[in-house]
Amino acid sequence: MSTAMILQRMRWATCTAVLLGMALLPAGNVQAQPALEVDPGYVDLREVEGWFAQAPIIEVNIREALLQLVAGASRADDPELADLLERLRAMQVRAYTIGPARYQVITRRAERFADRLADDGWDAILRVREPDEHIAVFVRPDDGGIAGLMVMVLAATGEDSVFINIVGDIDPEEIGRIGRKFNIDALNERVLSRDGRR
Amino acid sequence: MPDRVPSDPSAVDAWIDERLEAYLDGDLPPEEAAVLDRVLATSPTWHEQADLARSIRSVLREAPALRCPPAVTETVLRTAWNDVQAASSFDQRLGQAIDRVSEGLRTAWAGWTRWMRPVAVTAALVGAVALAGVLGAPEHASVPETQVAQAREEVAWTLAYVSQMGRRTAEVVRRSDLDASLPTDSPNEP
Repeated sequence: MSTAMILQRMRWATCTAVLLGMALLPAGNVQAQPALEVDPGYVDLREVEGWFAQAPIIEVNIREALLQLVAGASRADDPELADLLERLRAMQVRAYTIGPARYQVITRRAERFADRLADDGWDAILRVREPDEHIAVFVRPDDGGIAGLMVMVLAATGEDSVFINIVGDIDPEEIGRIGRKFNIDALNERVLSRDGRR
Repeated sequence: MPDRVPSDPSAVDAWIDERLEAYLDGDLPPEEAAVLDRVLATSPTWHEQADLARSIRSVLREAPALRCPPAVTETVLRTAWNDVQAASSFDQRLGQAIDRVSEGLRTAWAGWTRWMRPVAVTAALVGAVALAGVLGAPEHASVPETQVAQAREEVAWTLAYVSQMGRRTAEVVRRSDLDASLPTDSPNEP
């Protein structure tokens, strides 16, 4: 028997055996997280986008794979940040300039939005209602921990109105502590100037 | 209506692979068959794949249609091993083992009806997808460093903003608590 014949027959036998083996690979071995959109800590911000005629001046959508890459990139110089990011699934931000004329309308819509968050199991842990400013912070408890954080800041004048949703295993105190390390004024310039937004 | 060859180069191989059997059966529309004619004439890899498919098809057609026994793989392998033990030379033993395994698997395969093959192929594809999921997606390698750096700035901004809002609202709460605790001069206040 020639080598070529042996190789041809081995190829056929191997190919069939591999196909049979792969066809029997148990699907249960694959550990897949549920889709982000059904995560209890996820908030679909498309409704918020619909309140505004203009595009957001800041838009952030960082999800799972990219978040983990950022965590990896931060490991060397900021291991505390990396540890936090490894437990997160997504960060979403939308920022708009409202102005006094639209402030009341947006505030009423935000109140109704907050009511629906409460119906979906979100707890309002902080609310500030002042004449020109409305701040609300919500957390989504789940399975003994916090699965999501939602921040709504509405400003009639002077500042931007911001909507933030962070999804994952969250410790609000940790976020506050780590966030304090960053210089937001310096970051503002870079994030706002990106893509010619300002 | 014949399907057009995909413009995405990574999808072309899949397009050809899906049509190879139908091409050998003479079941492709003329336009698609002409595409495969050109591919087989110019690509040694696809030419070899077509030859292998033709040899498998001729063996399957010549083999008798038999019912597939329940434990066929185990039986075939055990029989092959017994034959290997009895053979005298290494070459003879290796050839006999391969022949028996191949013959047994071909016999089992020939017992299937034609429609079972796409089911098996689909199951294999599902298994391949599951295996890819276990091994992890290769997409991480394709994200440019600049995008990661930009995302890192946006993460830092978001955390800084949330932290700042937390401090501001705490300040507002403290002020309102302080205001509530201060005595007033108004005689109408309780």
